[in-house]
Amino acid sequence: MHSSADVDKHPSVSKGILKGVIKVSVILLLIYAIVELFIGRLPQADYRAFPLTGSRIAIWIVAQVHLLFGAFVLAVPLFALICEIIALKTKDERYNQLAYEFVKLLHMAFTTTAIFGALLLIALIGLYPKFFDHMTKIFKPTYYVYVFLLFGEVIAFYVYYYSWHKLVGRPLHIVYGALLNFFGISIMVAANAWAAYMQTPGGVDESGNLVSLWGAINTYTWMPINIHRTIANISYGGSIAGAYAAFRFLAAESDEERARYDWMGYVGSFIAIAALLPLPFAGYFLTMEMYAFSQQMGITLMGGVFSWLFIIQAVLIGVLFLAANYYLWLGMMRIKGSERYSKYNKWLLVVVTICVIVWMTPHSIVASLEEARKMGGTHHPILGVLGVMSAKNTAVNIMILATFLSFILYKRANKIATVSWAKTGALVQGLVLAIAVGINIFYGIYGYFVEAIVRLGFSNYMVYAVLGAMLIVIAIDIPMFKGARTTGPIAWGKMPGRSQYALFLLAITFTWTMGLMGYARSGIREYWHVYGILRDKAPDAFTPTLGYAANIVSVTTLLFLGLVALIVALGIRAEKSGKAH
Amino acid sequence: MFKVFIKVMLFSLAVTGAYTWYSNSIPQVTSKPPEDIGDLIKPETTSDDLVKFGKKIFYAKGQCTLCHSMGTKGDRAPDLANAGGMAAKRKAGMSAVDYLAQSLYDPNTYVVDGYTPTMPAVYKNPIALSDGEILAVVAFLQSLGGKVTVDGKTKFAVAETARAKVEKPADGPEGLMAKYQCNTCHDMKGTAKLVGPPLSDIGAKKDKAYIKEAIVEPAKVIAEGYPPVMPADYAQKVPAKEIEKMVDYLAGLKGGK
Repeated sequence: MHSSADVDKHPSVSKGILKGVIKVSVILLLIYAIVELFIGRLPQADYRAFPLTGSRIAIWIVAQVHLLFGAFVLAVPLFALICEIIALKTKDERYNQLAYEFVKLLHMAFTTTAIFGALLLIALIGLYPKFFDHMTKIFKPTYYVYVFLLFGEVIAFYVYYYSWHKLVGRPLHIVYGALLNFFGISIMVAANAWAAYMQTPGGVDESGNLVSLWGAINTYTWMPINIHRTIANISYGGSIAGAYAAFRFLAAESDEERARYDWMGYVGSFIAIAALLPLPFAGYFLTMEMYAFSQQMGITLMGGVFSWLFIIQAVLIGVLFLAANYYLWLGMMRIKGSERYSKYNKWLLVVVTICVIVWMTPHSIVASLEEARKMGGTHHPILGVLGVMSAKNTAVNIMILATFLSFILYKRANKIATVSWAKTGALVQGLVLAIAVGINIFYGIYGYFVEAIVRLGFSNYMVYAVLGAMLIVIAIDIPMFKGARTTGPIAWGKMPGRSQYALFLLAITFTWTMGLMGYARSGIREYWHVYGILRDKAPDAFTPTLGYAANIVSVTTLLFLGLVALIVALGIRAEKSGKAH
Repeated sequence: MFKVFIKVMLFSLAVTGAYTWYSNSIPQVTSKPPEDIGDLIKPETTSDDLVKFGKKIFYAKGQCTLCHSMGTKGDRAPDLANAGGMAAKRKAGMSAVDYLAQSLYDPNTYVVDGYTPTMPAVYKNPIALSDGEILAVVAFLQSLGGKVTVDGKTKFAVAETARAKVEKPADGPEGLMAKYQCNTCHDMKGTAKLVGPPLSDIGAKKDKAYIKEAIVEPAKVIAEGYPPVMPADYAQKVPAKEIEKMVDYLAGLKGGK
């Protein structure tokens, strides 16, 4: 349980709220003062230059770091709430301790998010005044809602945080947690409306005059982004929790500590992987709506200058899936009885690797004129066939199923089902997975022989087959392993050090992927601030190369990871001084 | 702990570095905002110069090659390698130049068999070609297997009629009905029996579920006395939100009751 020092140093809930409200108010007043006293006195301009890096890079870095912290402070309460609910259901106090370990970090993370948010707002008003004026003209009422939600979140956080020791484990505290998440998700949803409007505007006429505020909010990509980001944040929260636990595991000084953080890393990765599996489907939905808004935008994204970005994305997602599987396979080493299943790991590795290779195969390849002549074009005669949607959809879906299977095998590693229908159940599960793979291979091949529009429709059947199979297998698994015989306890802490690096790899790759895909979503607007409505006439309105974008993404990733490391280090120091006290 | 911290930071650097290296090793393309050529096109511009300008616009600002191919069958849009030669044969009684101009200003009036009406009106955002730039593209397309008949002085009547026609609010249900050309086969205001049944009172006769089914799966609910010619691909090509809007709108048409 928590130390008494921990409890003592907390102010009361009301004092905490006051502290939070003052903090947010000071930040808002500072923004107002800077805008009024400095920016307001600058000569009128559509764009203003920023020294050294230029305006775009400055905005890019500040926005991306703010967004990463935003994801962090949204993900952690989601993660904590899930843990608290599990603790309430299972009466396993470890989940509450796990939740608290992260909630403690939120304090500083919120402040950092707010500081970067303030910097972003000041930079937008100062460097891109014409664009900011346009957004204000359309969305002014939502700004007030945003500020209201911001105060709501701060108050909910302090109530949640400072009432922890008194109320944890009680339903009321879960209500507080739900309230914190409600405000957090609402803030994200409000900000998503602005970003979605920039990409797929609605509710305005062709000159950009507001026709309907709701139309400007409820654009084609608003709901898909809301769904995609919510799921991604759960996954992200899990991966960050996993990385934190991995760090503590590697730095642990006792077996007890190692066991604790090993378990924590497992829970973090479990949540990360569970949310990662449906994430590609949310991505399909988002892309479909982009296509629905503008075929041209969809085609530019998938087949134009951005097509190579999806090869990088395939590498990143491939790394995520490989790291997740690797961690599960190594995790089996600490489970007695897992030998029955670990022999399949090498085959799963083969399947996942083949899928990653197919997914990252480009349709056209970089070739010299001579090489291209020899090949008969820039499309390689064999690889060119794999580099199309039919093959890639099939590969992604089979990779998801293979990871799901790893997951299922891990979960049952130390269990032997005792129900009378266990054999039939396992057979049906195997059959369902085989049918899902079969459907994907069938439509994957059939897709080569039909028109693009028909092929697009096939991807729905493929997705339904995968989702359906996963749901059926879980639905069978739960009753089948109820009251199962165990082959022995899990030896928490008995994990090789390299397994923890798989957890770091997950967190780093998630962060980098978020940066890259953020660039894809923004970059697809090309030379428009608001696609088709407000043209970007700044000197750096061009769409940069992927290498250039990757450099910025890496800078923001390292900056974010460095700041998170600092927050964690301060958290550990406070924890140690609390213990000493 | 410090040792672990250093190791983790080095690992982060190595992973980030690997992603950065990979991203820098694949093809690097910078996409610049398109050059506005419209101001260079004047009444005295010759046909030859128009073709040159048109080619530049075709491959850059016009973004035509995103969908159209040159010399191979296009997946998304027709092959334009012989656009000048084919244009004259597309529509009886319509000259090549009129057909090409129509296709650029009001592209979905005539859709080539086997393709869906997805071409955007190129004078509108985000492509936003000026009248002069469209003239140049017409000249370039004419030059592909045909004779160039336009010069800087040429004006297209369709430029005005298309603007008047297309600039209906596409967000509203009536705009959507126009966008998908429902009124080509259905009388929306009266009771005339065209290719399909009149829809002015459909809301009084049928419920929303029936109307939706008639749009997304028309083969299932063919109105008695009418041929089964309603296109079956609306479910694929019309976004779900727009279908819902159209269904709500049609359900509200009660024939003045």
